[in-house]
Amino acid sequence: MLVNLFLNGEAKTLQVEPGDFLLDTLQKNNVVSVRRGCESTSCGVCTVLLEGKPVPSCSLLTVRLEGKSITTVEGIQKEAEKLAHYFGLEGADQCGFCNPSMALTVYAMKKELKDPTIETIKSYLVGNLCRCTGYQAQHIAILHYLEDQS
Amino acid sequence: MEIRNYLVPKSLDEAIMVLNQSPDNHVFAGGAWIKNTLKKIDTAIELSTLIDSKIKEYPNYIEIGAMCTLHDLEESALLKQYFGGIIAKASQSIMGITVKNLATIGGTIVGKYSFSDLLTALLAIDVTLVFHSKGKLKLSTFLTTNYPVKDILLSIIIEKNQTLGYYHKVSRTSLDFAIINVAVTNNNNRYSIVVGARPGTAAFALSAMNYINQLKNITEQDIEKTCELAADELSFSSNFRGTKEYRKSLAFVYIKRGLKAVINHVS
Repeated sequence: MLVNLFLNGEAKTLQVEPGDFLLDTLQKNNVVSVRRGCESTSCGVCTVLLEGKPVPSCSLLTVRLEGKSITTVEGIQKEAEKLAHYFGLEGADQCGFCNPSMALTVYAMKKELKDPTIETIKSYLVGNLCRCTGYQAQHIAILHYLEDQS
Repeated sequence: MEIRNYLVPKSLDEAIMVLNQSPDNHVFAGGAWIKNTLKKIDTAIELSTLIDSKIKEYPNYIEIGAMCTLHDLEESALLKQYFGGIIAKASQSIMGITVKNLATIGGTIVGKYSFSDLLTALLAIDVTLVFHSKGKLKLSTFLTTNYPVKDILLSIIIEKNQTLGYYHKVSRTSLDFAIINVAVTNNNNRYSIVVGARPGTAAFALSAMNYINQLKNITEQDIEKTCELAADELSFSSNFRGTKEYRKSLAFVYIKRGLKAVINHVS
């Protein structure tokens, strides 16, 4: 089957099988920033934005995306670099495996919530697991990133 | 998981017809759990183009489109105003934002999932379901009946009233399924007690409800007796999340807290 969608703003026509999940489709098409983790919607490392909302690409069938807009971290590069700067200042990352998904979820949160507190940030990010950092430095870095309106 | 065909039906009638052509044909709502629950699908039938996802307010009731996501439920200011906000609370307690942007209220109800948090809250206020073929049904009837012909859920109707509600989920971590969840409501001194994830689909504690609903003045001893009846009548089982005995003890404690909360008007 052919599916027409927008990947990071660019129109794409992808050849897929009805049972293909978006994570597999993206990786087959060399979008390797979308990571493979638990594959059961729990860990969040496969997060992409569907029409601006974070969703798990491991459980989203590509055939359902006709005409839809998908954003990976490549599509928010400048914002991701800004967030990475604050992560660096706080020592908030180690292996970096979760960073693309974290950046996408934070980007969506920035659009959706006004003046989130640390507690709101924790609640919004509860589905994005990080096995290295213990989260505290990340949450502080994200708060500083959200405060930076430049 | 194997899917042979994918269909975007032009109408609900076409969707129903194809759905009932084979037991291996399934409709797709959010699709959040398909990977975990289905192995082989002959035809996957898309519903997102046919069914509403909005929460609408009318003078006497609220109507929720079956394709409404759990994230929209948890964020709804309207739903937070009613029933002690238990629908929003139950939705908040479910995994992370990514799953809640996929999973829908319709998929949750029709799946009758034994791990569901939302079903427990919805059953406590016994919402009305609107199906394409069957018409209107109470959630309590739907959950306890096996239907030979598959149907499509269109919307959920919730009567606006002054029901007070309490909801609590016990889980090992924020992302885990519940060890148990409890909802208790008080609609003008008519009490409902629902326990889910026992593990088992949410169910009323009917004997306990009958007992407390015939009392005029409820004492501390009455509450204890109600909790004992509920814990004794509901079935509990053991799995890797918790033992049968642990679940039964938790049910007793949280039903008691729930009753005290709704009797004292603290939701």
